[in-house]
Amino acid sequence: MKEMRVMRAIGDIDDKYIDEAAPVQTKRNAIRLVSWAKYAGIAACAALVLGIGVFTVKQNAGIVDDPSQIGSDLVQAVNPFEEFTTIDEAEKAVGFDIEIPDSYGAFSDRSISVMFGTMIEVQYRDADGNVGLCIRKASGTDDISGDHNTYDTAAEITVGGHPVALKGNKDNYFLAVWSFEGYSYAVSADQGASQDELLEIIKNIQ
Amino acid sequence: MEDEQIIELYFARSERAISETDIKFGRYCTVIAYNILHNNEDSEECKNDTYVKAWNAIPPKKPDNLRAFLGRIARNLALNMYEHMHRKKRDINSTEAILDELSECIPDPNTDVERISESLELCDSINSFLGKLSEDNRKIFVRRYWYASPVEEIARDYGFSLSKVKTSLMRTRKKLKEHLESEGIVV
Repeated sequence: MKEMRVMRAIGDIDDKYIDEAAPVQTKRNAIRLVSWAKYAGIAACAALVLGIGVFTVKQNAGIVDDPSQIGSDLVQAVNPFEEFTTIDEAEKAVGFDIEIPDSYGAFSDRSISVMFGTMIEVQYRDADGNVGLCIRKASGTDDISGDHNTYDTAAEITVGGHPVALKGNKDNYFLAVWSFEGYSYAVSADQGASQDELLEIIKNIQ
Repeated sequence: MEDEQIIELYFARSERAISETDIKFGRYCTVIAYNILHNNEDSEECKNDTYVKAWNAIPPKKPDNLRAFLGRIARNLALNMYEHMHRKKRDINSTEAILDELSECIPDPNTDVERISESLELCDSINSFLGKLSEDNRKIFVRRYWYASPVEEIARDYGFSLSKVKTSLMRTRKKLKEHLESEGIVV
């Protein structure tokens, strides 16, 4: 198919043109916030590849006497994603506390996960399983939102004495990020929210 | 996290490379795949496969531009999936439309020139063509045919009228066809 050939050839154009035309905003409805656990399989594969590599090297070096030991190493290595039923359990896993709202409108079903033992992510889902809100907390000051799109509007509000950066389009904000006392926070509202709505949510997060 | 740090994680074979990639570029890759596939689950699958490909490629590869590197993988995977689905007669009208438009760029087969069929040369020729376009026309073209964005979205994002975007695309396709013919490239 000639059209597909042209389409694929266009795929290899210079990076500078790809950057230049990068979308200024993404189609929010096209994106579902992803539970870390969804791609645990990838890490498992990755770790398996890594594990096999290690095993081969160790075996070649004559270090490994008991291959069953490799299996147990792998089990430990492959699962960096953990889902929890309670916040308390997740807090113990990461070693810090988190305070979050019980629900977000109709999105009252919380799914709690921890990634690599360093970041808590809580997704708020409605009865159909759609994610409406996602809250993340981790140690440090990096932006942990996972949303690096360029939005039309950026604003800064003050909540509890610390600045919070908001990003969105016009009056509809999709993202709030801030850091406070050594922790980074990110709130992502899949359908967007007003400044006031986000303010209310952020007030209840620590 | 800076791109260089993420690449270092890949080189260190740290699984955190994948999570950091997802944090920074997950949405970007998903949107590219979605524009081609128009299906949330398939786009997710493409995004996840992109991470596996990146993990396998880095090292030895050390991308200069991690975003474009990942976006290109996601785009290729989505096109592969599209072709696979197309063979199964699944309806993906928007991408059909984009491919139909691209048929206008294909030089006539009876052009009396030496046939050059290497994809690399085709891409090089498209690159040099893009370099000659005005920035606006180039961005519109790349948004449409690299990112597979709907024309309405391109018009909205760049603040152009729908007719301006469509006219720009039509003229650029015509110019590309002339350019490829002048370079003796037959697809």
